[in-house]
Amino acid sequence: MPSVLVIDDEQAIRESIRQVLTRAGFEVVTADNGITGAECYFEHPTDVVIVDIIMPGSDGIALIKKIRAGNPDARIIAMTGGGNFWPLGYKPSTLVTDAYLTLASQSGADTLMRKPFQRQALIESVRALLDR
Amino acid sequence: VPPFQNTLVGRLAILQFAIHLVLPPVLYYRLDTMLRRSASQTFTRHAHAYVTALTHELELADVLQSPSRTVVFLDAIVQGGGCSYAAIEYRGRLLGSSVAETPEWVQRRGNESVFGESADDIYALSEQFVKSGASGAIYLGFDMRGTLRQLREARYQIIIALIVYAMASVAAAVIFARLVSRPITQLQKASRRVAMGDPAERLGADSTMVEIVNLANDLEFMRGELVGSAALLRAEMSQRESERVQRVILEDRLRHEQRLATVGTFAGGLAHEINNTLLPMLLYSEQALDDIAPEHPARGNVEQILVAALRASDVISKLLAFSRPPEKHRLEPFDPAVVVNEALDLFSALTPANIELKIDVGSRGKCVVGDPTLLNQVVLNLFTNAVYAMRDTGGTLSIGLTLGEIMLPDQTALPSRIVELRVKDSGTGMSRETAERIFEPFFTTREVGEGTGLGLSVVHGIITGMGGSITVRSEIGHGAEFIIVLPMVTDAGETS
Repeated sequence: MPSVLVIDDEQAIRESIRQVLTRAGFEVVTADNGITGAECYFEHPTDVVIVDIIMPGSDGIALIKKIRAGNPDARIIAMTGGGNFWPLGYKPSTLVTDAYLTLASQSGADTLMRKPFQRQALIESVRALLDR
Repeated sequence: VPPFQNTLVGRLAILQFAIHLVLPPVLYYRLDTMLRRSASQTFTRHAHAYVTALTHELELADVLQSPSRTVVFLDAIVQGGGCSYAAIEYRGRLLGSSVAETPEWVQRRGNESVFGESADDIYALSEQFVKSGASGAIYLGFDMRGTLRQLREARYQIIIALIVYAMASVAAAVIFARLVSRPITQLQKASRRVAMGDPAERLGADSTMVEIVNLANDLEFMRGELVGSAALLRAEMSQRESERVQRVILEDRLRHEQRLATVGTFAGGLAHEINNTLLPMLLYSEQALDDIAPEHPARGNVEQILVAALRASDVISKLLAFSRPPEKHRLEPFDPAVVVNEALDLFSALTPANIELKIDVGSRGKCVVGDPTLLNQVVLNLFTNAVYAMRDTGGTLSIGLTLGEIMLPDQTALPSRIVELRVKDSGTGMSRETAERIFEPFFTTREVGEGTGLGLSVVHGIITGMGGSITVRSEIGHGAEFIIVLPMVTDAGETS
């Protein structure tokens, strides 16, 4: 049974993803921050890792880099709920949705997802990565 | 009109009048006394000298030898000496002149006469003499009337002279006062006109008096200084006013942009929160639909939850539609007229028949740098809003594209070349409060479900991203005009 590690600071997101993927036939482990997420992964590496980019403390970008550095074959999905509203509140130093996703991609994420997404999209993304 | 006694002429006239009320009588009294004394002295001295001379003649000559010679002598005295009578008393006999009556009181009156103080105007004089051992006396009555008449005439002359002098003095004072006061009044009137706001009035006086000429020159100099400093002050004030207006405009714009930025930042954070909330809603409701039997009454409700969550997700994705960094967009010179015309091609088919399109766009060359598709979106958005504002009444939609120059208050003195796009409708218009908030995200005047309130905030974002500005002019009932100003570029692609 393929395994998935879900790292997100929001409990509702972790639990809803766990339910969807569990029902789709995956073994799901969760963590609520980057540090425990990394510990968890290197203790029991899973087939797929789903990482929220914007988290308090150690953020998703650092976690992706760490996992990619530890395991070049890791399959990583990065997701984010968006950043600042660019034209009005944009400041050149502030990363916004696309910039976050670009950064995640450059840091080693295989798949980028914008929250919110539907069940089908999630399952397809995980399966696509596993089929790689 | 000031009271006469308070004017210069009045003061001088009164002063002169007072002086001449006192001075001429005093002068008259002094002159009259002197004249009278002098006349009196002359008269009496002459009379006494005459009598003494006659006495000597009587003592030395032989006038008294016979009465007839004596009478001839007395007649000569009366006729040549101006006497009213002449008599000689000698050896107990009184002989009088035959040409003048001898008054009976001659011996009585003697030498007691005082000049001018006898009722008959006769100055009586007598002198004793001795001739041939016998003593005698001569009695003469000098007539004072001629001398007194001369005195009276001299007195009249003095009075007339004094009256003329007094009148001439008062008149001279009045004339002099007028000579002084007229140029002063002229100066005063001119000064008043200057003070009342006619700075061109020259301050001069028709006078050759050094003091007045100097006063006029100094006043004129002062006026010149005043006019100069007033002009300077006015220029400074208008400069300050225009600076103040510019500052107010800039502050207003800054405040507006800051508020939009704040709302935008807030909207960005809000979007993140809502997306994180929507994700479990979507996933859970899809999971729930798997578990609910098709005929279960809760199924429809959960489906509605899913639809609502998807709709919310759509709104948020619109909000974030432009949360891509600018480098993701194309950055190329293009002709804004082409974009506007393309939008019009698309749009005119959808325009209701009661709306008239007035288009003045032409071709402007590739004068703007940016992503044409974004400008297209802006134009379509503005057109849609304009048509919406005229949906019930119909009206005119005017679109104008012009090239021009503006002075940026915060830049150098060189004007900046700009492209200006105006989209004007004759619809319902909006209040000042609405116009101020129109570019804020989620601000909408439309009914729930008719608009998200994002269109114009996106338009604002695109225009700002192109380095331009968008403003709205509107009044309730008088339509609205959106004015987009974009920096113009030269053919080489350089921003001018």
